[in-house]
Amino acid sequence: MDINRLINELKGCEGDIFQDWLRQMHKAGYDNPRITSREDFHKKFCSVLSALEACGREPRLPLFGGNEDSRPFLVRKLVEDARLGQARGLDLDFFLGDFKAMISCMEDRISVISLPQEQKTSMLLKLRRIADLTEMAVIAGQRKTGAGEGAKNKKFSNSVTSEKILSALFMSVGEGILLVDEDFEIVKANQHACEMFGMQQQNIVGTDIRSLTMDAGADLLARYFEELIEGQRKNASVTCLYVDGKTFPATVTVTRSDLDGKKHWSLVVRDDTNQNAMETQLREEKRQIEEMNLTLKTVMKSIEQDRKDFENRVASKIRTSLLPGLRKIDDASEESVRKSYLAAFEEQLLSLTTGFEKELDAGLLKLTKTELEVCRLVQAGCSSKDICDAMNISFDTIQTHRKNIRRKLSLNGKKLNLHAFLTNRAL
Amino acid sequence: MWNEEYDVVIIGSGFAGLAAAIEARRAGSSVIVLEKMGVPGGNSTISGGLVAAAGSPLQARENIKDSPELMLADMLAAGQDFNHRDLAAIVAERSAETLLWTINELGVKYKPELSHLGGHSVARTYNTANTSGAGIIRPMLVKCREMDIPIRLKTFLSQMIADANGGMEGVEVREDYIFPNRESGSVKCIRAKKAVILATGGFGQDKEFRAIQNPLLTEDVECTNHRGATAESLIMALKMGATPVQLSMIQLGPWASRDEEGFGVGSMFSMLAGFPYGILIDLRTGERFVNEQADRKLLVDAMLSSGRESIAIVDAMGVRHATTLEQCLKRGVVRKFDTIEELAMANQAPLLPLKATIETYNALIEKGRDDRFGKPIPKDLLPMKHPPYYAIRLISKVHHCMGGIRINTKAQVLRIDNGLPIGRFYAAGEIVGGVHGASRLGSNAIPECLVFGRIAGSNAACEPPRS
Repeated sequence: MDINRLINELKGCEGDIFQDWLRQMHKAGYDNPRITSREDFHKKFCSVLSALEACGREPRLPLFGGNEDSRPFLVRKLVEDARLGQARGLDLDFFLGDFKAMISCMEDRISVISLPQEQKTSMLLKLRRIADLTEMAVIAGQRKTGAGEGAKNKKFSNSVTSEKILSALFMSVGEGILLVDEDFEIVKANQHACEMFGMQQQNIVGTDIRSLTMDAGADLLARYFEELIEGQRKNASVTCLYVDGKTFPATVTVTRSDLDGKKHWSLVVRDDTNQNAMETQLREEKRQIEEMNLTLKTVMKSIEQDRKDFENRVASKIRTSLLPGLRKIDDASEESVRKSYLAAFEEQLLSLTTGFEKELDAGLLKLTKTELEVCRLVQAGCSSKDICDAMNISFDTIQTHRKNIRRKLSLNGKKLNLHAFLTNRAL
Repeated sequence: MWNEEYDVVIIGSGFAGLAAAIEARRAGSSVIVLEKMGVPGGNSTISGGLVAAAGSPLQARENIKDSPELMLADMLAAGQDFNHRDLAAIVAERSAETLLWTINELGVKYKPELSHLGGHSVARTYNTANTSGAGIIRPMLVKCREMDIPIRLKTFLSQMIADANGGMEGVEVREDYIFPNRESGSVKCIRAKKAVILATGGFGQDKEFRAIQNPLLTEDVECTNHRGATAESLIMALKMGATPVQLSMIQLGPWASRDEEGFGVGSMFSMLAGFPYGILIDLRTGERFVNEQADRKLLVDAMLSSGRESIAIVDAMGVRHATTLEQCLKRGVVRKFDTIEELAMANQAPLLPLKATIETYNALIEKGRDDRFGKPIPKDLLPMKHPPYYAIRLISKVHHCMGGIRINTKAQVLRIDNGLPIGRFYAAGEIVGGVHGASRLGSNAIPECLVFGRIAGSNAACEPPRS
């Protein structure tokens, strides 16, 4: 039988059949131009024709195969198409609908070709059989990979839009995302990941993920890949390699997510350079604050000490001189005696402040004992460093003392150094 | 008005730009490299990493007689004498020295065998060890880092700024630019105390501009280039008074795969195995139709004529030359068949003519007869009889712009009205026109970019600095 002639006839009107098919698809509500593309149609159309051609050489109809292995070779291409379509996000319903629409358009076309009816019938039968075989094999194939379920009720156009949205999201996420397969090869990378490693999409895809990490990073990732079960997630801190050989610290979140029955791992990579720098800065600031705190504490302590010394001095004066004096005044009965006691008492009271009023001017009066000590050393020509050693207190403490001294002596803002001020003053 | 100032300002971070940067820096100039994309390397880093050199060490080892004159003759033959001969001659003359520079100065690693690419009269092509231009770009970037050459990414050249005499004084750029949004980023002006070097590559991805030059290249025609290969810097140079050269000469790559986007992994499969060690078949007739080792233009013309759909086939012996085979198979770009029958069915090629074609071809090789298409039959070419067989479906994609702006042998950009150099303005790489004429031979682009990049870099560094 002249099957080749028929096939050539069909080939000749591929354009018309495509138009018929477009109309049918449009009626069914599938008029997304990307899906109803000429290219896809052409591929399927050619596959069906070559299957028909192969059938033509056999006198008998192709048989239904029991399982995948005995699935006739002739529809393998169509099944593959369906699988690829599925990978692109086309669901089973859509593939079959689109495929059957094409078959029925071809049937319509065959029935109007001018050939003996007998040949046309045989051709139609074969076409049907090929369609059935394909359908069966496609469904079997999809069941196997567990896809198609659940997606059943979804509108086809939705799944394409959501695929687009997903890929737009994937590309624009502000963190690096890499998808890695069992050979450690990167199979997908988003824009941010490309920029992090300084590699173009085309270069980074196919790259071994281990070659992008330094030191123990490769082993660590390999171990995680080994250990993780599907859906599980783990973080790793690794050192990554930029294209020019620079390295950067990164946190990688590894998740195992299997696709098409094959193990895959998705890696979310975060560049820690900035974070680490900020952490270091924070640590440094904290250290400085703690140091300042310590200095302040020392200063406060010495001020407190001075105050206590002073109180003690006054208390002991009161105890040793004034209180006995008061008692004597109390005991004295004569007016004259009491008077002389009072005079002595007054003297004693005045002597409480001895060493302040007589020889020091008002400013020096305000200084604490430690500050006075510092002044004495400054007057003697000691440097702050010498004073540190002499008084066994820290440099920062000295500086604080000096600042306080200048303030108390009203030297702030004046171009007069302490040493010059103190010269010729009794301390 | 200037925000920053460098001796030499280089636009573009591919082979030409980085070579210029390294030479200018070595000569003691302060240098900055500006790159509009988010990653460095442009098209160079996704190229096949093939480097032609006349008179190389590997040629000496293999006793291959070659010379710059022979390489130049090949360039002129493929370029149909449209070449600006003085420029082409420099590329041929300096090719071997430049190759050695990549090895000794940059530490580039090459495979230990030469490839014989279509249109070259002898095997003179080095392959980078990783079969990619990244094998050269990466060491160049490392070098730049070591030499403290800043490469500023996402920085878009928005305007060239001329001085009172019409020479280049600097550039206006947009920092933090987001390709391709021309309004993105913030404006900044960078002054060049010595010179500006334009190394922005070709415009293969600029569908509008390339269709203006060659209306046959509609937007449906695919392209092997990265997204950023657009024409805006070329247009700016023309506005500065540069001379356009042969802008309509746009090369398509005949070896690209129908089953993947861009240059991909299939191109190298065809180039290294499919064409030299296999055959090119017209799917409608099952026959050969062209010398598979012809230059790119002849191949593309033959493939596109009368709407041919073609595949390249290679057997188990020939496939050993394909360095990207594994990736090709993994991504479905190349398919493997145990028999010619299966191969024919899967590709819908007529079986008997295909078998006959292969038999004729094998007889040709075995008996050492001349091929009627003129394919050279080197000694290592074996008859195709060892299964499995491998096939790649081909489609021609826009690959290289031979045209561009005119330079002299010092890489100075020449003014259109008087043919004299525009002051302090250099160009190198694919932005330059005329080197390759009507058709660029495979593996000649990298030598061109490196040779003129280096010339531009050292000459720019010699300009007297502006006060």
